[in-house]
Amino acid sequence: MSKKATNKKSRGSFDGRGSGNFRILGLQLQDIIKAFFGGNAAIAVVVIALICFFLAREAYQFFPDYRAELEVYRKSGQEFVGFIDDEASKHQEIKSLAFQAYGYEIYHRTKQHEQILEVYNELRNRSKTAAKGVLELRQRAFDKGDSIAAELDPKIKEAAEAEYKAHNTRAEKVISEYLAEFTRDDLSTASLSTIPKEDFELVKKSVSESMTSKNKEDAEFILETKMLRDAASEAAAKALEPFYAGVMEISAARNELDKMIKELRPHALKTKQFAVAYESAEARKEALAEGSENATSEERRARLEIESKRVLTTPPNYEERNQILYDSIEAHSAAADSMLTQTRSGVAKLDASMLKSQDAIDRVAIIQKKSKKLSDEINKTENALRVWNHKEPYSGWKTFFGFFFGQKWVTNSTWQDFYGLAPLFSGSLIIAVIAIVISVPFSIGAAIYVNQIATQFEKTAIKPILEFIGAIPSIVLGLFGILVLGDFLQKVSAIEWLANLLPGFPIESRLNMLNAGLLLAFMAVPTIFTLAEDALNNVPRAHSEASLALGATKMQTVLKVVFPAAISGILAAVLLGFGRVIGETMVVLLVAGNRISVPDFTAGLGVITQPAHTMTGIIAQEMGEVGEGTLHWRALFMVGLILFLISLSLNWAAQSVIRKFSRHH
Amino acid sequence: MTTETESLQPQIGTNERPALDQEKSMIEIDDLSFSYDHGKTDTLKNITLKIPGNQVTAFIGPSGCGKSTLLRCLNRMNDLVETSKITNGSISILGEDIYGPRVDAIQLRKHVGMVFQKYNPFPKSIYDNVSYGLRIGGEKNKKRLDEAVERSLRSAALWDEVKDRLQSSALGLSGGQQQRLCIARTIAVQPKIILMDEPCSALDPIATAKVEELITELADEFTIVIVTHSMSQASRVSDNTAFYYLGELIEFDRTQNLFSNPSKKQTEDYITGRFG
Amino acid sequence: MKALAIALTLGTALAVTANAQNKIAIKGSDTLGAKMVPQLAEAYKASGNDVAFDIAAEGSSQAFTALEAGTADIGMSSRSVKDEEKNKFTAAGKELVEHVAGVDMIAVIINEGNAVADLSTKQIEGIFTGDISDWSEVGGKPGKIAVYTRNTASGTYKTFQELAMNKRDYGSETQKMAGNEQIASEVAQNANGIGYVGLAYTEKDGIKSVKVEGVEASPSHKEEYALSRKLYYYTIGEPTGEAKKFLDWATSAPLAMKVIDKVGFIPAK
Repeated sequence: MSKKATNKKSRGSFDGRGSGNFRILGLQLQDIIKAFFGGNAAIAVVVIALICFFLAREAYQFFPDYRAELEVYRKSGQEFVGFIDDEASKHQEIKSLAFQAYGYEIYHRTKQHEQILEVYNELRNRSKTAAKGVLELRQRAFDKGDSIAAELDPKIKEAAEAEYKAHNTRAEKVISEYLAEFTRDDLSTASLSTIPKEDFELVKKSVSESMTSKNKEDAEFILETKMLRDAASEAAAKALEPFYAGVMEISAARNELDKMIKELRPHALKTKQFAVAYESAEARKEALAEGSENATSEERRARLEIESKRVLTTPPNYEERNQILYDSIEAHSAAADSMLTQTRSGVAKLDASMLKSQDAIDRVAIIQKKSKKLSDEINKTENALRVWNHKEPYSGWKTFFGFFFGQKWVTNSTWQDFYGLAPLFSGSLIIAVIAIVISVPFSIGAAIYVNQIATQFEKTAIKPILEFIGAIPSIVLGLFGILVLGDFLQKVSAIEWLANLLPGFPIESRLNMLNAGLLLAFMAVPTIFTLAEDALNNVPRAHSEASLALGATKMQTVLKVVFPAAISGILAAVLLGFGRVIGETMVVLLVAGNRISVPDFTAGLGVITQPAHTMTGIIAQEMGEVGEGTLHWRALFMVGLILFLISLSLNWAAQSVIRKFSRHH
Repeated sequence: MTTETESLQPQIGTNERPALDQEKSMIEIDDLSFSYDHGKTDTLKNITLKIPGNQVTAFIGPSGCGKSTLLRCLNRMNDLVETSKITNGSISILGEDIYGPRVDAIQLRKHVGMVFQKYNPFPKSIYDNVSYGLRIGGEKNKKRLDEAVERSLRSAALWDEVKDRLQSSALGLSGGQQQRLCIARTIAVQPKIILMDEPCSALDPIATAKVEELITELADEFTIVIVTHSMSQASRVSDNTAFYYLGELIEFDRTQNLFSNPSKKQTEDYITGRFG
Repeated sequence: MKALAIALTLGTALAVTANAQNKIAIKGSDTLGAKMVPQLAEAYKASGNDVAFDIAAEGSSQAFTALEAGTADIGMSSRSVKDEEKNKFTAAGKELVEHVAGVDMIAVIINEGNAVADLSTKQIEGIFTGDISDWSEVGGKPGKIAVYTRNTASGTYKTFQELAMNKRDYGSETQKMAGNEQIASEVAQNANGIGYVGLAYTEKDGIKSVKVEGVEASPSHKEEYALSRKLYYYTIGEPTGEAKKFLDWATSAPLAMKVIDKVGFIPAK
């Protein structure tokens, strides 16, 4: 007690807290300010913790649920049918290639006519673009004459028709002028430019005829060419009859197996429906019971009550239902064997010496390779079917791997939903890598220029412009990507020598990873630029002075002293830019092409011109339609959680890079 | 000295080294006026001064008197300030006007080295620091680099302390060692002149003593111009001293004379501590 | 262009009637909500009904969520209601009533430059499931097929699966687009593209529809064409008041039938 008293006394006149009069709830102004700022920081921490908790809570149920669902997939025999399906799809590849070889060969033999038709199509499309304005006016006049208002008022109809005529005459003029100037060399591909001159002139004439006639019918020359083409292809088909017999034999080889699948598939699906109905029976019963309590009319209440009592709650008899699958193993062997022998005999008939098209010959070679492997596939399936047991529990590991490395993301399926992250992850990753590879040299170059070389005026001009990029809404960039960049890339990629030079060119689909990557590269610029510029700014001036005083040039100083000294900050900038890019949603959803499959890496670097789907994109696209608490919903949260973890680790990596290097200083 | 540097010599007008004539001036400053703001106000006013070779010349004066500015004119470090401008007069080194049209500032700085107030080694290894100037000059031969590094570190009296850890970071050295490393880095390119801008102001007394000793030794080989705040330091290390006040050169004389018998009242006031 | 003109007229019409007393909120399918229902609403108002419409079209699933939340008076759907969706209404003691709005044909479209004119249902199934991957397999100019489909929120996605794909899953190479318009414009851009859209969208530049089993996708062939489906309105309980008046009109009035025909669908009656 006495000690306390002395303590109080000893604060004496230097005790700051004693001197002020302003107090709220016993707190002084200083304390309140401190609490305010501390509180803000605390709120941020709490919110992040909440996000983590919320994501984890929604996602954690995913694996058990997914496992349960896959277990139903097994119990209902769908897995069994799936094995046979996979086997059939291996045969499908061969069959598909055989048809392709045949198709390529026929095309090759009718090429001279096809060429005319292709030139015709191109000219039509190009003159349509050339006369776009007037054609639009013509269309508007047509719409006016065809509208409901015109139906009600004949005067409007008359005026519209006159207008249509006037625009049509003008269109005729514009198109004929455009075509007069057009030469064969103006055609988009070199292979088309070899078209004979007289044919080319005839095509031109046909184009202007068909575009201005009211019923838009093809001109006689074109109809004639089509007939010639058909005749040539008939002749080619005749010559290739023995080859086609081989193709048909391959195609028919699967008939027996197909029949089996057709029988077993619905059976397994039915079993699954029973299983699902059984599982949701409780819920349905509850829903009906609840409904009857809430019902407005007495009659309806009674009806719901009865319905509720009728819901069955017995599990399906898997043993009995799957017996048919176990019994079909022998039949499957027979069907697979006959598929193998027929395919082999069909393949033997594919005589490459009959073919003239190199594409066709290449395909025959692949077919021969694949047909040799077919027996292995059949053996594999056979074994899988024999050891299959519907009672065997589905392993947790398999579920886990199935999610992280699964190649299929199939939702809303009529057969079975699969949640495999690989296609989404690879899409996200490739796009982000493209973006970073493109963005880094630009933004770091700009940072070095602005920080070290630029004049004061340039600095004040460039910095805000680059930083403004960050303020552009991503949806705007997405639209730009579809309408401008996509078309531009597609056109550039069709240029003959570029297409030969670069992998993946010409680009088929204007929505692809390269397009998305370019836009994201643009979006990453402000992040990387600003942070890298800060890092360069933090390099003491004394370093560059010392270097200059030793007779180094400005460039030497920047590259050998300033840049190495800022490297940690720049690395961190790149990492954070990566985080920015991988989390971007709108642009990738609009521009990446949304194809859910692991990109085909056999295309080499050309892989970047393929479309892909992304982790962010899938959440944005599918979240709106899934029911709360369903497996699909949890799967999307799981993807979200992984995205969150990626961002978190990127940030952590950026920080530890900085920490590591600054210890060195 | 590398062949490349040799070939560049004519640019500052020395085909041969002049004889070590104490009285022959190394640097001639003639009626120099200098401005930091496009010539609106002059920071240096009509300075005329001849600095002799192979001696230590100290610049003293109160803060803002222009001594550091003048020092930075000598290797054209002031070029880095965009708004700076020589408004009158010229500076010649070995007879060549260093602001003349034929002179490249980059080449000039290879001959006029500089040591800064705060020691500033690069965040690199000791070896890389010392060899930096030669490397950017294009020297790639490992053996010649090794030799130059050793010679420079010996000249800077640092060799024995660091020879076993040449590859470790220069930032691990003590302050005095770091400043001596900066001196080694400067002399590695074999300049003719070394400018020192208050080289000891960030050092403790023991490190200061070591650096001062080094300066005296280096004067045999190099012409040294040192800016200092400490009058005792000036009297200890320099042969000549120039006193500046408000951008003007007040007095320039042998150090001994200037301190014992200043001819101007302002000089006397300053050295006796009446202002400054 | 057409769509823009409609949007503009609709916009003005909405602005003019903004202070009308009665308001009908219609939500759901993009297939119905993009053209047909807005034009029906316009014609309905033009024939002397003082009603304001609030139309939102994000996909058939929205019809049921909006009805359940009470933010829509009428739901539009291009598929019939799913069991899970029905359960929710049952649980709340509400009854969902279905009205046929019209019949839609799903047209399979390809790039204008593509010479293929006719596909069998088997071939369409093959293309959309990924079994067939090259145009040469169906007699076209060789080239890898690029398949564009609606995304999973769409009723058309599911309906097409049932009508054309033997209920099999879409191939993993398919690209999922947000709406009819996007599919049409991507197919117009891609010489090897194929996709499906409502009949109303086949007029777009750069694309053409193919015959299915030799039958052209046009209203006159609605009986034989393989890929046609019903479109629905949904209400909670039998409709009353303004909603009832509008629905009666939209499913039976001659003018309404004409509008439906004009936008490329087939009147139910």
